Amino acid sequence: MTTLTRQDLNFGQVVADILCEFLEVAIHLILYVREVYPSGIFQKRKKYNVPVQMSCHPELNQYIQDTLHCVKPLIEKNDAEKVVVVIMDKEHHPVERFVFEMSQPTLLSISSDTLLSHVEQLLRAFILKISVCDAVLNANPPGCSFTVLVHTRDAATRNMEKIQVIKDFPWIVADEQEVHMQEPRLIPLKTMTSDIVKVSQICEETDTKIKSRLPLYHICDFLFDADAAVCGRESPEDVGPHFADRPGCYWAVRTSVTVLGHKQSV
Amino acid sequence: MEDVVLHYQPGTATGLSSLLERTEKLLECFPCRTTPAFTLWFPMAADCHLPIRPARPAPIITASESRPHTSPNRRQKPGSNALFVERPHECLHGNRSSQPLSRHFSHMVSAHRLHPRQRVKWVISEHNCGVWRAVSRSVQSSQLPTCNANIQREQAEIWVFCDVVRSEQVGRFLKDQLQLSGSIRLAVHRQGDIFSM
Repeated sequence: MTTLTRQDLNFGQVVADILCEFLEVAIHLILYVREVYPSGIFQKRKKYNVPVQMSCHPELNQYIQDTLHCVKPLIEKNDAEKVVVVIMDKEHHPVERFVFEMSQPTLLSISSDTLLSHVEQLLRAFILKISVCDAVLNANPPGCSFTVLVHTRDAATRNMEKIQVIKDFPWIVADEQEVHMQEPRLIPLKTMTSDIVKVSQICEETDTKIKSRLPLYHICDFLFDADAAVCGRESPEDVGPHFADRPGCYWAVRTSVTVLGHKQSV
Repeated sequence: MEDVVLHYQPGTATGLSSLLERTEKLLECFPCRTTPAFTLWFPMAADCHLPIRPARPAPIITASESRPHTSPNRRQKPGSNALFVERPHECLHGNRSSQPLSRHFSHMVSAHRLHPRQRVKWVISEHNCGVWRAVSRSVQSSQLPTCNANIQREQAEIWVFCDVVRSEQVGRFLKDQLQLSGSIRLAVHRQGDIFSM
């Protein structure tokens, strides 16, 4: 086990690269799962060895890329505390928030088996959580849009210069109205702890949303275990020779749910 | 108010009284006001907790303009995070990768509380087992994207696995393209047969 400081090997940059790559996938998937954009603009790809939905719309892709390009320097310097994907209704009131809380240790303990592949494996579990989170969330009202909020450790105004890295992509301090959510319901989705970064993913939704068509249920934990995720297929016969050219490309399937505390099969 | 000391040049008594009157008048109309509370002109502590966001709003995309951008073999822009492009899905019913479910089928899906991404299987029974090569070829050549198939020799059945959301399309493809005789059954794990075509 080797102990390194943040300056060694420029680990801040490595972490920022990993997190921004993850955030890009996560934002695309949230927009797809929560139906912020028409499903026609999304296309199935593979990332972290699981299928994900990515937008093919150049304008939206550019917007997400510009946003993350600006956020990267803050993550690199450990100045970003939270990155929040906010889904807003027509009146720009937040109805749903996906909070990615992140922190980096000051001292990095890197063992030989703690490689980036391990972090990617952990991030895969986040992606799987997002892809099925619609089961525990109420439907959003039509005409929703989204924004990305960045909570900084210091005063927001101090970080303005750091985040203003693209000339025609300015940043502003968010309004209280955009941040405050009425009686949010908190849904912790996933937490990961690795040697180089800790990430927590929480979803908040406003209580004013119309109750959805399904009873509130919790998805089986086994589905979200990073290793067990591949076991979520329907049956062993569902993985045959035809997947030989796409190793690891399996389908997560919900096989049981907990309705009002009682586990049931579906 | 504190005492006011008036310095004057000695003279007549009337002069002094008029001087006192004038002084009192002047002090009466002297503006007495409370000093305003000090307010910071730099950001308050509360502002520190407000996050920052892009000034530009996210683009609005309508359903009508969503189709032309779906080019599966789009080149990645330099600097963008590399993602593997999945095989194109244009083989199943032209260029449309996913068709809406029919009303009858949607009703069946909601009645059984199936998740759109749940895996289901089409069962091709005994008398159609001759089509195994064609099914296998279709899966391998991406004509049945996201599908998987195997042959159950003991039961003399072919099982074609697919997502619920695509299952109707897949069923039609199997029936029409492979010219199957009789019906094929749609089965769900633990629930058994739920539909036939």
